[in-house]
Amino acid sequence: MHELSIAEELLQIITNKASQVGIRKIEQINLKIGEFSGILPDALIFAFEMLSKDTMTEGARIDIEQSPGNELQVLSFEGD
Amino acid sequence: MKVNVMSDILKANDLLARDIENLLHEKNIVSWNIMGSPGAGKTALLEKLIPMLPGDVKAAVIEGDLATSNDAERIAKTGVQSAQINTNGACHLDAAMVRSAIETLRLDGISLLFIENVGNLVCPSGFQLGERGRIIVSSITEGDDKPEKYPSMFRTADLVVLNKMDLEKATNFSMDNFTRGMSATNPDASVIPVSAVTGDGFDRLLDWILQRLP
Repeated sequence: MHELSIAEELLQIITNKASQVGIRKIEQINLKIGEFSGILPDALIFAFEMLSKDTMTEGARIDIEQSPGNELQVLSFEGD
Repeated sequence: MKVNVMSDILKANDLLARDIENLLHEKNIVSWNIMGSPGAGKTALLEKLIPMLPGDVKAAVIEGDLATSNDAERIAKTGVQSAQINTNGACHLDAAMVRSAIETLRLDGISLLFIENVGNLVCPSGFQLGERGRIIVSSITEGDDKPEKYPSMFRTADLVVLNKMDLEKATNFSMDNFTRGMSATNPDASVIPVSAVTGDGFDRLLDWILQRLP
């Protein structure tokens, strides 16, 4: 239900980390989402794509590893 | 270039929750995150319970709602301090909202803090608020299958208060089904049936709360 606010946090984490390491364009993102996190992967991807317009994550592919707990993590990303 | 992040997306919230937890711990305050559906009886439970507290146990209440200060006004009538959070549409409380609300309370002499979350059986479960534990208020009119239907919520509860027992004859609620659901979802949680209208079961609830004071 609150995927949009989670997507905002996600965008911020990735943007901060990317600027620290000098990446300007993100190609791919790996997330881990637990079954009991209350977050629907499809809704999160939809919200993230909406927020990504005109940012360094626009067009990035999101891969989600599902897990059995409460996990809601950014594992890694790839970019140039 | 691949960059490892390995970061919890809610890390900012969790860190803030840790601060709240430390603050409350320093002040010897036990806090409970009260969760449940809209209309389950979360506020009614507090209205009934607070006047039963012994004189030396002072409580304060933070009320979370999308809009209105109706609940904080109801709580204020019990004579304890209350603070209202309006989430303006957000479906859960987060640690930042709770910290702002705590700043408006006078905490000296308080030993119990109830944080009544937004009525919702899904979203609040993901957000730590610095609470000592979680109490779910579930009413029998919601049906007996809620623990299995909303496991992300029920599996994090320390206590489930089953409210509206006075309506048992008017519903087809099965205590066996509810108990079976709880055993499958969260066998460690206590379950206390009550009626916030008649007061039945509140002695047990009061004992449960008082046993967990420092």
